[in-house]
Amino acid sequence: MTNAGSEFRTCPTTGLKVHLPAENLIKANAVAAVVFLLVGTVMALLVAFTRWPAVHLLSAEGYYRALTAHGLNMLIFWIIFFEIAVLYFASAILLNSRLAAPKVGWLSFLMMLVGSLMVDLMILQGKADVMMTSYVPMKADPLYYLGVILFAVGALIGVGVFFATLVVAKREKTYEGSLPLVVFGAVAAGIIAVVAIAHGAIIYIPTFLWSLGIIGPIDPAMYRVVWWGLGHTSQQINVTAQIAIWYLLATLTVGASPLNEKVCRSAFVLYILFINLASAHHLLVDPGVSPSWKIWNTSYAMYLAVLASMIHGFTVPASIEVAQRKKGYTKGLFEWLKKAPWGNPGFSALALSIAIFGFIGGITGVTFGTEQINIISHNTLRIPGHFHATVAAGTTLAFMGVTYYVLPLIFRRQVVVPSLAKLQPYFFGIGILLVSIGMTFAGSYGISRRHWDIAFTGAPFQLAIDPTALLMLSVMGIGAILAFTGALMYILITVFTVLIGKRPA
Amino acid sequence: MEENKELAPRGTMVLAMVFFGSFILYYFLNWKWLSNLWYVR
Repeated sequence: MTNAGSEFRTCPTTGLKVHLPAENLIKANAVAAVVFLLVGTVMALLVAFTRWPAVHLLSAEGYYRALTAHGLNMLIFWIIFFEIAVLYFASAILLNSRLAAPKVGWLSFLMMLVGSLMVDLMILQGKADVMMTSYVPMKADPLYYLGVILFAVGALIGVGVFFATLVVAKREKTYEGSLPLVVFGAVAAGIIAVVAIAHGAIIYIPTFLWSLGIIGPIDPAMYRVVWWGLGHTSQQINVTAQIAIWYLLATLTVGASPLNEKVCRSAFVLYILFINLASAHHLLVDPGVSPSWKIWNTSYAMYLAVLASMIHGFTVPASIEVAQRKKGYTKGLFEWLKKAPWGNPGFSALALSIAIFGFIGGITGVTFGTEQINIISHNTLRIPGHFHATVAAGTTLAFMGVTYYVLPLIFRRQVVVPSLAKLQPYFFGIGILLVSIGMTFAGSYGISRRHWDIAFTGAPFQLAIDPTALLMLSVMGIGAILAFTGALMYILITVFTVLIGKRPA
Repeated sequence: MEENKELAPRGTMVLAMVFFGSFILYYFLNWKWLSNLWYVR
């Protein structure tokens, strides 16, 4: 229902006031996110089929190219486009407000789109086989760095529109009292995004100038320290946005409300204060930084960010349990869980996201973040095993789950083939779980993190590979097929829903 | 009072304990693996 003479409509199901320019920007960012997810997903399968020794699909050159494209399309483009959509949703829609400066929002979107297309073009042309970290002195084409800078500045402008919308909502009194918890979480994600993107600008602008030959060489140690301020912190935007979505999905799927809002908000503040320092765990075996710097940042500061994750990891399921018990599911310890709406893809995606993020991603992350233990896990396949549980399972599953609510609310379409949508989170979640377990255990047997050929064929030494590692790489390969299927189901469902989904009556 | 008892998230508390148990086990195993590789005399 569109309100006559205004730029708003009222959603007949939720009663939310939807600002139409905000709605259009959410749609554009969400569609771009799904397109880049498709690119990243295809690259994921190519990478997995090369790391799986039984298949070993690509040449060395093709593998590193696909790995670079996979990292950037999944970890940066898919997730940040989606996050910008989430920020606009959390500010304009959840606060019943108009979006501040929609034209600036479009400028942000265009910059991000042009930047990401430039990056992908450079990678696919073989002019940027530098992997996501692009550690100097490896040099890519200047257009690659320019693409990253354009994307980052575009995203920063988008975050600025989000903060400006919060000011508009406050000034125009579109809500009462404090910001809702979900919006508060989005604010935390926005603040962390500013920190991440500032690090990106600090390191990518000189690297761009270096690639043009305007300035001299970049110090590799300095590059690594500053780059991880972007590389890891950007993943913490994901975690923070993902947790804000957990609270939203818990409310939407079972009607849960936070057990203690103050504790949940404090946990978000812990993220803002400490999660950036946790970036240091990427440099635990780096000779360029001192042991005291490493230990302070990882064995002290990082644990305060971990504490925040544990608080959220407890309060979200606990709020679901209380909501279920209020409905009468009080028998024993787990009737509330058995009777949960497992057929609702929003709920199954949420439950799998929490379980895999916490049990696999959380436990491995804290363990590898210990300086002494890092020496045996660094640069092995255990590291991608960890972050596939956090980012691929935790964040991506949460984003997939909320999509099933965004499609009817923002795109005003009923989800097509609901029976397929019911299965989708299971395919993706179980697939990523196998990928993560396979990688983690193969890495425990010393399989390297990124190398194209685990056997080091042609090397002057013979490398003995434990058969268990090969078995675990097969588990990873089978998981990759399942996860690919789940991601493809998600992409097809969303595309067909947007194109041919029925409009709600 | 009785109703509040029924609403207490006891199941989540059990899951949290399983989580801590798993964490302790994995953390211990990693120190064990480290000690096998890195001898201290």
